[in-house]
Amino acid sequence: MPEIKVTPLGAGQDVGRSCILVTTGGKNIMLDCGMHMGYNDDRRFPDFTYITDGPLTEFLDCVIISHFHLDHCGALPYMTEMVGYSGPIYMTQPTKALCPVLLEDMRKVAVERKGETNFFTSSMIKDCMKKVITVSLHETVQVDGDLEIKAYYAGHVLGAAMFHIRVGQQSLVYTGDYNMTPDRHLGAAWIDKCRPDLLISESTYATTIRDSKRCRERDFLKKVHDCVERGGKVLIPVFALGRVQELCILLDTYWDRMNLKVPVYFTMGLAETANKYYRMFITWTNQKIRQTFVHRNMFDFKHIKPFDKSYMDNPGPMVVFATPGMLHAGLSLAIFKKWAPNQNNMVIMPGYCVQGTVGHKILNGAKKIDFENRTSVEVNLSVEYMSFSAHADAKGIMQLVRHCEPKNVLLVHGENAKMDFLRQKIMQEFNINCYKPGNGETAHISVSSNMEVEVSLSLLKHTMAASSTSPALPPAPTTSGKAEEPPTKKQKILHGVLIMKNNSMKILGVNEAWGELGIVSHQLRFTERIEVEHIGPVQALTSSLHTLLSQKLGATQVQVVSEYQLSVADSVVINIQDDNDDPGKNILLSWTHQDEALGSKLLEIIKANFKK
Amino acid sequence: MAALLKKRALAEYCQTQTIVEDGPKPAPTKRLHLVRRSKTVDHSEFSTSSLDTTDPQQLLPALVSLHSSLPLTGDSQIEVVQELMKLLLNDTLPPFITTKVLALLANIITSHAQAQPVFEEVMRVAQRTKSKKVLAQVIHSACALSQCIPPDPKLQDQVIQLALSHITTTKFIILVRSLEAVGTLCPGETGRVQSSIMNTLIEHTSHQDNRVRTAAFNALMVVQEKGVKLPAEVYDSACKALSDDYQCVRAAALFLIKVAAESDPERLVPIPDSDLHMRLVDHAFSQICNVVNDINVRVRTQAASLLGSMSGISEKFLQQTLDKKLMSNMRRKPSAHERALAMLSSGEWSSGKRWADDAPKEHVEADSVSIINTGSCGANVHGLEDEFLEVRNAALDAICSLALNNAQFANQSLDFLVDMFNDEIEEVRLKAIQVLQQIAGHIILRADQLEEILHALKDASLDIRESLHTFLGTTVLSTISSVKICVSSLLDNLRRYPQDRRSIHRCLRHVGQNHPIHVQALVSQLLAVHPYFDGVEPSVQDGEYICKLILVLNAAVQCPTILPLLEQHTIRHYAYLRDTIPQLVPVLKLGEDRQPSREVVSTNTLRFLRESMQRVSSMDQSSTKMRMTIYQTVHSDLVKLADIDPALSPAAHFAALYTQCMLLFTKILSTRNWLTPSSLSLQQSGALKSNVDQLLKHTFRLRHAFTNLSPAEEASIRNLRVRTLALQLVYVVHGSTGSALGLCDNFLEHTEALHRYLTDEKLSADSFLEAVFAELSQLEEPRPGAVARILQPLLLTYPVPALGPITNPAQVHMCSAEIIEPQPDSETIHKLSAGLVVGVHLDSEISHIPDPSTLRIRVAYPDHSTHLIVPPRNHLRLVSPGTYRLLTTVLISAQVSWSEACHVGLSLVLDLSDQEVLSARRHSVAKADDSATIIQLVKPVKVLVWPKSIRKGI
Repeated sequence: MPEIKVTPLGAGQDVGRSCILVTTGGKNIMLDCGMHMGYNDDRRFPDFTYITDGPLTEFLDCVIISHFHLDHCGALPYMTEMVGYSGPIYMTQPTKALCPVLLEDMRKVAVERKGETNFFTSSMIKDCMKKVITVSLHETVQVDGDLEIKAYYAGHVLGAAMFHIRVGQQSLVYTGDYNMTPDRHLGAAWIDKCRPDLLISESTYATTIRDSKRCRERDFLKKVHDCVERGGKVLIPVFALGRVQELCILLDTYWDRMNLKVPVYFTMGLAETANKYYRMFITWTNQKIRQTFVHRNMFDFKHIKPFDKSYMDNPGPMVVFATPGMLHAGLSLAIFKKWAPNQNNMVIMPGYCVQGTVGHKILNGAKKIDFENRTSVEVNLSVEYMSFSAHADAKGIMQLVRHCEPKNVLLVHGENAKMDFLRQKIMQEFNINCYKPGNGETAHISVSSNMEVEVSLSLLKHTMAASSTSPALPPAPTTSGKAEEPPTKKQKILHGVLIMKNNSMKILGVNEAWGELGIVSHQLRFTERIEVEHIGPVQALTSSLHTLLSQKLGATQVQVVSEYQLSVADSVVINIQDDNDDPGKNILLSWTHQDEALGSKLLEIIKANFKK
Repeated sequence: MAALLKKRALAEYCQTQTIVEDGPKPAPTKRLHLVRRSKTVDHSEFSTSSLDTTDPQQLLPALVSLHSSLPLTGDSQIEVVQELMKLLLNDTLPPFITTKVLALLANIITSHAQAQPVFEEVMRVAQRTKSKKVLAQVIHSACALSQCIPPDPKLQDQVIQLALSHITTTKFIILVRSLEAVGTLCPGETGRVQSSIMNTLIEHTSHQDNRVRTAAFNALMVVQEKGVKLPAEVYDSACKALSDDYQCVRAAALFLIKVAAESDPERLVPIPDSDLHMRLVDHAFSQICNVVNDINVRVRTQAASLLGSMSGISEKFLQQTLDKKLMSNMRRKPSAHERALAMLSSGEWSSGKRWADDAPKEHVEADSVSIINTGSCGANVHGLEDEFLEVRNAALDAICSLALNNAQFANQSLDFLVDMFNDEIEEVRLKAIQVLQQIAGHIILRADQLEEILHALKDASLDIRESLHTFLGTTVLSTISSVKICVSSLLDNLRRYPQDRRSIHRCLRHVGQNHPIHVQALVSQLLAVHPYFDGVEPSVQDGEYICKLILVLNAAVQCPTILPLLEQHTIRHYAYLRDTIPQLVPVLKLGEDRQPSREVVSTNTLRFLRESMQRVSSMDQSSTKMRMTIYQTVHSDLVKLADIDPALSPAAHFAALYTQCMLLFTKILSTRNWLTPSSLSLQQSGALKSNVDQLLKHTFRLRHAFTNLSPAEEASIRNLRVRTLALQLVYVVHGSTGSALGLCDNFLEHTEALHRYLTDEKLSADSFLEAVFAELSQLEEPRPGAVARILQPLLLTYPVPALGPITNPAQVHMCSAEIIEPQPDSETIHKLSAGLVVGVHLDSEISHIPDPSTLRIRVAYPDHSTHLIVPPRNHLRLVSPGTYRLLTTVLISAQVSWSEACHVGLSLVLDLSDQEVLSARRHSVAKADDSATIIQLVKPVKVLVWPKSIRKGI
C-alpha cells in the first residue's frame, strides 16, 4: 500500500515556524521554511538535523514557499546558505520580490539592534534568492520527471499561494495561509475540484466563525471620521507589510468618497518599498483594484502622504500610520507620547499586541504609562481595537475542503485544542480521515494506488456501442417503467487482452494484441459429429435444421451458406453430409473455443431433436 | 594584398554558388498556399448570383454575407431559397458548406408553405450524409422548419423519429442537437411519444458527456415550460447534478430545480436520514442556497438571483438565509448587528471603548455546531460577502424581491443592507440604497440603524446622496430623535454639498408629510422659538432656514396644531415661500387674523386664456392698426399668464407665440412696398428683414417645441409655417437677386406634407391653403418665380386665421429646460491653460423634448463663436416620463490666453438641422447663423472662464 508521509518540523499543532516535510512517491518535498518569532535561540529555526546532519541537497527534491511572512520563509537563507541546500526553491513572483525585503529587515533588527552573531548576512539573502524559481498562478511546473507543482490563489497577503503537488498517481494540496473572504485589496482563495489524496490546511481560526467584514470596517471608518471631525488626531500603529496596505486603501477610498480634506500620513521606509511592489503586482489583487487600475492604481494613494517627524506637532486633525505595530519602540511610540494626553485624540490598534508592550497596556485600560527614563504619560486619548485578520475561519476551511474534495485532510498551523474540534467536524461532515501530527511526528497516510492502464480506443468504442444498442430505439411500447437501470449507468464488461510492455500496461482487443505482439493466431476448434436418421435429400434436412435453429435462436443469427452448410452467429459452422452407408445423415458441428457456450447449446438442441 | 583578398573572396563566392547549384534541391513538399481574400464582403449588399459557384472558398464568404443581410424580403427570399436548395443537392460540396446552407435555410424560412418542400429535402440529406456535423445541423434545421407557422404535427413527428433514431450515437454534437429537438417538439399531451421522449431525456441527464447532460437538462426545462409534468426523478437527478464537475451542467440543473419546484411546490420530499418530510419548494430553495457557495462565479450569480425569484417559501427557511452563527474559540459570539441591537435596547450609549465588548459569551457544544452549510443557512449573507460584485448585486436583488413579500424578512435584512452601504464598489452601494428604498414600506428604522444610513449622506457621489434622499422621503421613522438626527444630517449635507439643495428640499417635504406629529415636537427647536423671548428674525435667504420651513410647513398640513406655534414672521415667510417655491410649500388653512394679506383667490386662468384668444379671433374686420394693438396686448397678457399659472404655461406660451406670429405677419404685410425692398429706406428694409427672420424663427419654434397637441392645432401650426415659408419665398424672389430654388422646393415639400397630413387626419384646409393647392396643381413646372407670383396675391387676400380654441390646454407640452448648475451668479473662475480644456459641471433638467438625441449643449464664447456639443447618451437619464436630467461635464477651451476672465454662455438647445429644415438651411437667408435650425430651451448661464498662457519650462 503506498503512503504519503508528512512530518511537520514546525507548525505541527502550533502557530509559527511553518516547515513541513512531505514524502510521497519517493520524492521529498519541504513546504515552507519559516522561523519562530517568539524565540531567540536555536528553537527559532526548524531542526534540519532531523533530515540529516549536513547539506540537504540530496535529501530534498524541492522547497516550496507559500508566502512572504517570516513564519513561512524566515529560515530560508539559514537553510540554503548555512545548512546547505542548492536544489530548487519555488515561490510566486510577489513573494520573491517581497521576501528579501522582509528578511533584510529582520536581519537588521536581529544583528544591529539585538547584536546577535551567527546570523545570516545580506549577501546570503541575495544568494538564497538566486536559487528561487518563480511560479505563476495556475501554471504547472515540472520539477523533474515525476514531480509537478501548480499554484492557486490564496488571498491572505499579496502573492500568497496554495500549491498542488503531484507525484505520479499521488497528489496533495498545501494551502499555506489563506483567506476565503475577500478584503479591500485581495480576493478570496480559490481552488478547483482537484480531488487530491491529501489536503494540508492551516487552521489558525479552527474554532471561530467570523462576522461580516463590512461591519468592522464601517466601525473603523466611522471612528476615524468622528475623531477627525471633532479636530482630534488619530494614530494607527501598524507593521510595514500586509494589513497596512489594506487599511491605507480603506482610508484612501473613504477619504475620496467622503470628500475629506484632513491629511493622512504614512511613514516612509519599509512600507514605501512594499507599496512599490504592491503597485506592480496589480494582477494579484481583488476585482475592484484590478478593474480600476487603468484609471488609477489604487496603491497610488491620493490622500495619503509621507510623514515627517516635524508634522507631529502640527495643529489640527490628522491621521498617521506609524510603525511598529505594538507601540513598543520607534516612531509610533514617539507620536503616542505626544498625543496621549489630549482626550480628543485616538489610537487604533489594528492587531494583536504582545504582553509587556505599551500597546498591550493601553488596550487593558492603563491610564498612565511609565517609561524607562522615569517619565510617564497620562493616557487620555481614546483607545480602540480593531482586528483585521486574513485567515480563513472554520467555515472557510470547511468550504475549501468541500471545493477541492480531498481524500484525507491534515491540519497544521493552529493550536492543538482548536484543531481537535475542526478535525472532528471534518471527519463527521465529509466522512474522510483527518490528521494533526505534532512537530517531529510523522503521519502516515495510506493512499489507494491506482494502476494506469491504457485501453485501446477502438475496443472501448466497440464495447460501448455493443452495450447501448438495447432500448429506446424506436418509440416502441416497450419501456416498462423503471425496471432496469438506464444503460449508460450500468457497469459493462470489457473483453480484451492485458499487455504489459515497456513499464506500461495496455488493454487491447484480441486482434490488436496479435498485431502488437507479432503472434500468429491459432484457432482451437471443437468438432462434433452427430448421426441423425433422416431420409430424403440433404436440402430438406438443411432447411428443417434452419427453421429449427431460427426458432430457437432468432432468425438473424442463423444463415444458410450453401445447401449443405449453415452458419450460426458467423462463427459456428454446421455441415450436413450424406452418409453413404447408412440411410441417416451426419451433421458436423464445429465451433471455436471462444464460442464454447453457443456450440454446446447448439449441440444440445440438435441432439434433442435429431438423435437416432 | 587587397587583390589577393578579393580573389579569395571571389573564389569563396563562386564556391558557394556551386554548392548551391550542386546541392540536392529538396523537393518542394509544401508550398506556401496564399489564399487571396476575395474582395471585402460588403454585408449590406448581397446578390444571389454570388451563390452560383461550386468553389467552397468563394461560397463560404457569400453564405456568411447572406447571413448578415438577413432578413430578406419577398422575391429575393424565394430566389435565395432556390439557390440554397441547389447547393443542398450538390453532394460534392464539403460538409461545412452544407452545414451553413442548412443553418441558413432554417433562418430564412418562416412560413409553413415554404417549409414543406425544403423539409423533405433536408430529411433526404440526413440519409445521404456521412458527416456528423451535417447530421447534427440537419436535426437542428429540421426542428426549426417543422416549427414554421402554422406548425405541422406530421413534420414534427418525423423530426422526433429522426432525432430518436440518432440518440444512440457516440458523437456528442448529434446527441445534443437531438435532445434539443425532441425537447422543443415534445407534444404537450401525454402519450407514447411524450413518454418515450421523457425517458430519453431523463436517461441522458446522466450521460458521460457534460455537454449532453447540459442539453438534457435544458431540454427538460423546455418540456416543462410546455406544461408537461416532470416526474419526481427529474428533480432528484437535478439535485444530484448540482455537485457535477462541470459548471454548465450545474447551471442548467439549477434552473430546472427552480422550475420544478414552482410547478409543484407543495409536494413533500423526504429528508434523508429521517422520517420527516419537507415541502418541495423549501427543499429546492435550500438546494439553491447551497449553490451560493459554488466554486464558479457564474453559477453563484445565477443561484443568488434565482433565490429572489422563488416564492412561497416557508418563513423558517427564508429567515435562515440571513442567519450566520458566529463563534470564537468555541464560544458563541454575538454579531455586530446583535450587539448594536442589545446596546440600544439596554439604553446604554457606546462608551467609546469597545475593546473586548465583542468578547465571546456562552460556550458552544462541539456537537451542536454545524459549520458546513445545510439548508438555506446564511445563503444571502454569503452572497453579500462574495468576492465578485456580480454576485453581490444579484444577492441584493434577491433580498429585495424576497423582502417585498415579507415584512419580517425585510426588517431582518435591514442590517445587512446597511452594511452594504460600505461596499467598495459604488454600483453596489447604490444598489443597496435602491433596494432599501424599495422595501421602505415594510421597515421601521431604529435610531442606530438610521445613524449608519445617514452617514452615507457624506458620500461624494451625487447618485448615492440623491437616492438616499428619496429613501428618506419614503421611509417611516419611529421616534422624534430619529427625525431630529435625520434633519440635522440633511442640513449638514446641504452645507457640504450645496448642489443638493433641490433634492434635499424634496426630501424634507416628504419627511414633513410623513411625520407630522414628530415634527410638531421639534418645531420650537428647529425654528428657535422661545416661550417668552423674541428671537432674531432669520433671513429667508438662509438655505437651512428654508429647509426647516419646508419641513415644518409640510407637517403643518396634517397637524394643524403646529400653526399656533409659529411666530408672526414665520407666517410672513410662509407667504413668501408660497410665492417662490409653490411646488414645495402646501396651502395652509390659516386663521382669519393670521391670514397673509395677499389672499389666494381662485383665479380663473383658463377662462382668461379662452377670452384672450376669443378677442383675437373676433376682430377680423378691425383696422390693421387696431389689430396690431390687440395682438400686442394679448401677447403680453398671455406671457404674463404663463408666468402665473404653471399648469397652463405651455398652452399660454403656445397661444402667445401664435399671436406674436400674427402680429409679425400683419406688420410685414402692412409695410408699404414690402415687395420692392430696394425702394425702402435702409432702416425700413432692415426692420422688414428682421421681422421675416423673427417670423421664421417663431414658426419654427411653434412647429417643434410643442408636443401633445390636437390634430387641429397641429394643422394650424403647419399652416402657419407654410404661410411663413410662402411669405419668405415671395420676399426673397422679389427682394434679392440670388436663386430661390431651394426655398421653393422647401415650400413645396412642406405644402405637400401638410396636404398629406390633412387628408390623413381628415381635416379641411382653410381658404388660403385650398387656394394654394388649387393653384399649384395647375402649375406645370414649379419654378420659384411662378410660384411666388401665385402666392403673392393669396397672401394678401387671406389674412392669417386666428388660433382656434385649444381643446385641452392643460395637456399641451412645451419643451423646456432648467440649468441647476452652474449657478448663474456664481463667482468662481474656471482657469485653464490656453489650448487645453477645462470641464464645467452641468446639471440640468429637461422636460418634454420630442427626441433626446437632438439635445445639444451650446457654448457661446465671448468672441461670438458658438459650439454645439452632443451630450453623451448615458449622461442623460430619465427622471420621470418626459423629463430628463442631464448630468455632464462641458469641456470649454480657448486657443489663446485672455487678459481677464470672461463670461462663456452655456445653454441647452435642440438641434434640428438634420430634419426637414435641411434644405431650407442650405439656402437659408441667414446662412452663417445656426439660429434658424436650433431651438433655445433655456437662457444661457454665464460662466467665468480664464485661459492663461502656458507657463514655460514645465
